[in-house]
Amino acid sequence: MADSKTDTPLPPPTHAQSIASPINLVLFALLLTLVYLRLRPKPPPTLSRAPPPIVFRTFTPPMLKPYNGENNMPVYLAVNGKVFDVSNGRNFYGPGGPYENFAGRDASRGLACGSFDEDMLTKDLEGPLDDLKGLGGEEWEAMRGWEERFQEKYLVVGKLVAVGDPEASKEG
Amino acid sequence: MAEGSSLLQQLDAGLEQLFAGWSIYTTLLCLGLVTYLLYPVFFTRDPDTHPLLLARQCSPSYVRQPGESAVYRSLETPLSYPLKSGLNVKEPGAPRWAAGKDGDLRDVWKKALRGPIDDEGKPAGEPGKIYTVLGSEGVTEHRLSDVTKEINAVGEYLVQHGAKRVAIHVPNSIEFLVTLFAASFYSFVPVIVLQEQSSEALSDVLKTTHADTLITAAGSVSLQALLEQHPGLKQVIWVVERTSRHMDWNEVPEGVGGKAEIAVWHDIIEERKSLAPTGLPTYNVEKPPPNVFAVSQGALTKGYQVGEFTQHNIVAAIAAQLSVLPRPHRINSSDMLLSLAPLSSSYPLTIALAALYSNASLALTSVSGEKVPYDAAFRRVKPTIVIAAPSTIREACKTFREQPRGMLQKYAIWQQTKSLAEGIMPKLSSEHPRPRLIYTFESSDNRADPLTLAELEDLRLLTGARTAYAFTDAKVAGAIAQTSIYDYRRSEDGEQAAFGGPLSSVEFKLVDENGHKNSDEKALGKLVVTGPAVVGGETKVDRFMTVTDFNTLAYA
Repeated sequence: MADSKTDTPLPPPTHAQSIASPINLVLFALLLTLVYLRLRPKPPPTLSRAPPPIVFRTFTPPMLKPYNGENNMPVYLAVNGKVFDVSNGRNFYGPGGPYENFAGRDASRGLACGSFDEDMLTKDLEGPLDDLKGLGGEEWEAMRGWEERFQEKYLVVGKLVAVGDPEASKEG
Repeated sequence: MAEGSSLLQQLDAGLEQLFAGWSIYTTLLCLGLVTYLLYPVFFTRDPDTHPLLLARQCSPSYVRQPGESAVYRSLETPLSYPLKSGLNVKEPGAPRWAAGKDGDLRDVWKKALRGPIDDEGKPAGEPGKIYTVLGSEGVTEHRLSDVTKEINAVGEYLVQHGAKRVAIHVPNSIEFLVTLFAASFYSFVPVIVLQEQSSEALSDVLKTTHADTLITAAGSVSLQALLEQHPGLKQVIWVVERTSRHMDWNEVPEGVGGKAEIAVWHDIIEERKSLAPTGLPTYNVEKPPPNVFAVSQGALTKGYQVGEFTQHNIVAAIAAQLSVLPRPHRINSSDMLLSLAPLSSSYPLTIALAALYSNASLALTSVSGEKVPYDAAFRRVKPTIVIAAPSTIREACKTFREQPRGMLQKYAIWQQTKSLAEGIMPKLSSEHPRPRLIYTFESSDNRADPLTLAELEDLRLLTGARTAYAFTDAKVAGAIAQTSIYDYRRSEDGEQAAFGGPLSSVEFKLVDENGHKNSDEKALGKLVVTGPAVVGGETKVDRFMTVTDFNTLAYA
């Protein structure tokens, strides 16, 4: 037997290098990479920061005016002394919408009377607020209805006071 | 073209050469690789909760007042929903959609006594039991119907003897629970006083709360000193340990005689037990039971703080504790709760009442407080829910960390830590009794360092239990905020643990004070808590706090 072994040619290289053959090395490296990938500590998922809450403010009519949706401003409107952020309803209340006259203004009388006309708005922004005199019972009802709907749908981000009101001066 | 084909040929030859090296080892490696790729498909568990739920643990309001932060609410009760106000108690068999009552403490006992019922109102198991762990003597088991008899006996006795305000100054014991429930059924005011008060402090507390009756452990206070300080005390009931019952405790010491009536608890029970009704006493459902005074020790405040909780405060807190647990982890009739913290603190009491309401069993041990070792919870009983002070937890974690470990144990710990980081609670071996829930709490007027995230993680590795870490205040029933039991995350060593989001019975905001200001970037200021669980509806907690990026409450 021993003689015959010396006679046979050398085994092919594949047999000799069976454990450290290139393919084994490749597979072994692959395995190591997988182990690393799996055991590597993963950071927990994080959410991007939520937008900060809007600060409740006291508005006077001139302060409210710029919030009409133009120049990337949010759309605010006031009903019965409450200022609503109606930016989500930009299509209605923003520029080009059917209610665009109300954007940045006191919309109480207009909503009460169901009219979008310019003359429903308080002309003198520096003057006192619309005291809503001369509204009938039905019109009050209509305005309250709008106020309630707004409260369900939109955020109250401030309140409206006349220029010169002591509360307005606090705001600075 | 020729070049391309030669490149391909080279590649082909290379591959052939590569595969020529295929051997038995290659096959084994391939098998290993495939197994490694496939095993997570079959054996990986999903995280216990969705990671994004941990990334935002409560909901802030969209608008904030100037000088204040947003108002933070539990995810259970978002803005524009009413906060949780009560237990939603319904008579058995009531239609599913019928609105329930908020209830009061009497409903808690009633439900505990009735035992678990199924959807149709039929009994679905035994009522829970109350166990008293008596150091060397073993464990005494009390059936709730027997405890009801004691409630009736003590209630009738106290009413007959004109008790209006009864101070309870006993450790966690059956006497404590009996007096508390007797107060609700027989309409007197319980004043729960933390144990370990000095005689002066105790008499001071009795004076401020106008207590006329004191129930306390025999010989624990000097009667003479007490009566000198607080002459308004009309009667004292001694709770006598079994081993000292041969002595005559009815004797009034010289010089004090005549002023106060002395009685002994076990005599009252013995005398009246046979006469006392076994069922619940009749009571006026419409008339809510009196308020509950809880006197807590405060390191910051002068000696102690008194919280006068209405029944509404208490049931709102219980309801919030019941609903904050995710459905698979709700307290049920197979649970046993043991508190290593005194039940005279409102947080452990709320959890214990929630357990009673869920028909769980209670184990009572008189060893309680800050210095009690964690192992004390498992003497002779196997509780599934444990309440412990943070100092108890800290001590247990320290011992755990310093324990010597072999390679295998180290590997196991490493595996478990990894699992926790992935949001999965590892299953630990069951050689030790393992609770499934651990409650611990930080009081607002305790200036000790809060537990760190590392300590809470050690606690999970040590016990295998999910943990709730709460922030409490003397003026809020139960807790203000409490960590999610699914939040196993930790970032760096030493980082203080946050207290999670608010419970559904309260909402909170932070208000500017002393240069601590809220901004768009950060909520920072004194904590103001409002809601049904708050004494008087609103309270300001004397601590500067902040809200983390995960919307959890933390010390500033």
